Amino acid sequence: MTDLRKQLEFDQSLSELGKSKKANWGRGCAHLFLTTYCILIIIPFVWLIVSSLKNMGQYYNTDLLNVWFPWPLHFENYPKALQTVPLFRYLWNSIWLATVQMILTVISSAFIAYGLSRFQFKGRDTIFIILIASMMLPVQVTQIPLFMFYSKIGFVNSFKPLIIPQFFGSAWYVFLIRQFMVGLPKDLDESAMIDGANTFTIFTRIILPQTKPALMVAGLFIFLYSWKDVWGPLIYLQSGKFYTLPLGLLFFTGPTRVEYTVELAAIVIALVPTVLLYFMGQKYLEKGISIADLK
Amino acid sequence: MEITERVESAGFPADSFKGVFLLAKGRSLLAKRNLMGWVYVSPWIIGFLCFQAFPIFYSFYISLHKWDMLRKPTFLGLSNYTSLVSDPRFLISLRNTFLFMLFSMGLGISLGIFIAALLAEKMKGTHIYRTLFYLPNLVVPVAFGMMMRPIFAGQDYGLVNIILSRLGVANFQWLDNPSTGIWVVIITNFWFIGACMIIFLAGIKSINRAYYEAAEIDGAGWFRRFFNITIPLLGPVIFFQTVSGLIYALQIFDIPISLANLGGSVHTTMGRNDSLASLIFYLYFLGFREWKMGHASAVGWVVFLIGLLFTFVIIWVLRRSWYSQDAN
Repeated sequence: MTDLRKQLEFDQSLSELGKSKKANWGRGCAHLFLTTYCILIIIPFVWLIVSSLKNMGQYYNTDLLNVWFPWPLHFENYPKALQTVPLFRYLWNSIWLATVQMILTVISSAFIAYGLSRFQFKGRDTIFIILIASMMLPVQVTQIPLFMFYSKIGFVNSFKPLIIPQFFGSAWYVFLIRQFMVGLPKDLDESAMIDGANTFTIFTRIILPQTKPALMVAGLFIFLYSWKDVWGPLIYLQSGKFYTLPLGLLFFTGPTRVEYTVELAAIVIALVPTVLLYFMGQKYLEKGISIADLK
Repeated sequence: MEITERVESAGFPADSFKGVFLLAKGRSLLAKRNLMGWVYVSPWIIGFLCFQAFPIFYSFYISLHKWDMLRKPTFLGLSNYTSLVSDPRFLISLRNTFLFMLFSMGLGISLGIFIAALLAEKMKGTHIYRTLFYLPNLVVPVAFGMMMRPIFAGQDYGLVNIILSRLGVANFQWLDNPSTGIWVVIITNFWFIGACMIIFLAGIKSINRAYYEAAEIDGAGWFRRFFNITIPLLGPVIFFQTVSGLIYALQIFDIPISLANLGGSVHTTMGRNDSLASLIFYLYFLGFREWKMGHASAVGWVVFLIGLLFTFVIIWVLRRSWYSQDAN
């Protein structure tokens, strides 16, 4: 009885700690700081959306009321933006490229990660270390020789240079998937081995299904990264018809000089897809962060 | 009898069929199977050699020449490198990139940990905050830069200038002035704090609560706990983030080029007066606008060497962070 009482008092005193004046002050300050930061983050986006609905006259007007609450709203900036450059085609190019890169990279990286996690061979650890080291090489540094090579064989101005490397895995995702695979139990492997299954069957029937969380996370990140990427497309996609969304945005002014507010509308359009994707794939992203943290 | 003994001594239960099988078939099968590992790893090895190892060395070879894609290359020795020292565009790229590295890594990571620690507490609304912080990271960087450009533009209708003029400060050409261009990039980098913050958040959440409770009972305040528990135990994560941050900062390109967007497809300078130069921006410029492949490769190698150098520095400075909380 007395133990229970002591326990209750102890619990109460701990919660008192949380309720103390000092803690409440601290909590308030934290909220203030976080809210201010978040508001600052949002302001440019709000400004962007509001300004994309102005015409140029309203844009140049620096009256405070007009900057934030223009009237009338010019929704026609959006159809104009879509007409100036083929934004839908760029969108499609981005989607297509990102999907292809995602599928290829996930499959090849999982393949390689399988080799690094489920086999013991001499030199495996060396390869792993080189893998990690290779993550630190910025891709742009190797670009010039590759570009020269690709132009010799006529691959420039096509999607090929952006797709071919994906067959060979990508260090970061190999690392991620490998870490995950290492934690998988080995019993199923061994039973299958005894039953005479070869390594490939074990890979496809046993390991892959279990690795799904890591694969989905990797896939999501690859898709996102490809979507945001502008370096590769900038160098290798030279005809307008191949442009991806970031590229199309960068070169937005078509043959006719457009109004700046129309360009702002185009930017808003470019922002939408990833935000949508985020809210759809939110829980996978969070799982991914915790998996990525498995050291 | 002998078989079961051997099976047991190998660590399998005596009547385990698996144990007998593996032992009976002998090591040769296992060894042969292990060699298959090479088959699985081979794509990466090939990819590494073709897309990373070989190009980096060939790029050094290129950097020793004057090479545009049309005429025959001429051998220059190291003069591509020595000319960089007196090249104003290179110097401003170097200065800008260093400044960016310093502030994005130093302030960015510290702020990321701090905010993550705040969000790890049980508070109302953490979910909203997390989403809001991470949202800018989902945005296409080019779109983001193009959004920030008019905000920081030097004319009267740039948002920052509007605010400043309300406060009585004169208009300033943020983007066009070579000394301030990179500061716009640095400031906009704070929008991207979400990515590293979320990783730290995951790390903090995996710290054993017991440490904090013990400290609380001993009367340690929030900051004490933050500095003496959170930060040391986040060692490996901090290390990893610092190195990633280094690589990212070193190759910053998307934001400068979209901030420099002069409303047309032809960029003739890296922002007006080269105000938004960065090392990789310069590499792109030299190689794919001016077609000076040799020069561009030299810049590339400088980037590579800087990256190596800083990685070793970071490893050396943070070498004590290699342990994790389990090793305690």
